[in-house]
Amino acid sequence: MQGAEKEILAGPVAAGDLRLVFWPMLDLGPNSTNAATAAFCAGEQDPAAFWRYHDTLYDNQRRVYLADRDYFLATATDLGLDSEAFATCYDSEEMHTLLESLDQTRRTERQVSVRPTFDITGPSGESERIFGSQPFTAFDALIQTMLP
Amino acid sequence: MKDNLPNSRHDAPFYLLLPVLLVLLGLLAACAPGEPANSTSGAPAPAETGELDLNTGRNPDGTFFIGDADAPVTLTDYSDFL
Repeated sequence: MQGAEKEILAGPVAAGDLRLVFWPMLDLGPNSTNAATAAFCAGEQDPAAFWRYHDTLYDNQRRVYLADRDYFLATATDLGLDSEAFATCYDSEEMHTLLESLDQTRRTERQVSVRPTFDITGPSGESERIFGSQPFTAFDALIQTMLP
Repeated sequence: MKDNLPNSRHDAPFYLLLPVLLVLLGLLAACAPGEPANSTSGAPAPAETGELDLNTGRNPDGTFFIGDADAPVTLTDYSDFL
């Protein structure tokens, strides 16, 4: 969604019509979990930092695939986060437990298996699901139908 | 002695073409695309999350969101960072 994400943020999110939520999928081995852990630990310090870390990971996906602990810690430092707090969080079981729980919910309750998948949920709980990277127009069309 | 002055018979076409070339270059520069305008679909210009002053927060389930907490519509992005 990367290209569409930028338009979504500049459009319906900036307009106050939409809230974007990121739900991690942990299907691609240890670094799926490690990358998600790192981003969530950034968010522990500041929710805005989660999104900065999120953007950084997506801008460097090739490196993230083979990244080690030092890479994730260095990224946190580069983003101006508290390095010690980040490392403590990254090494903790607490964050892994949360992420495993979210992943379990994703697989069982929400039955999401295609990567990426998007749920667009309206104010009355109605929801539409789309699969795979789509252009902004595909998202916007559904968002507009959901707006009160 | 052969001087280095332009030979009017052979170099004249160049000196005639030069202003034409300059005019053509000027026209090309004037027609060149400037800052990208909004697309015909009406999509806003893309931006990084950090460039927009957007609200961020955390949901009770531990996930993170960006946008107004009480926005009427929610888009949940199920993705992997890899």
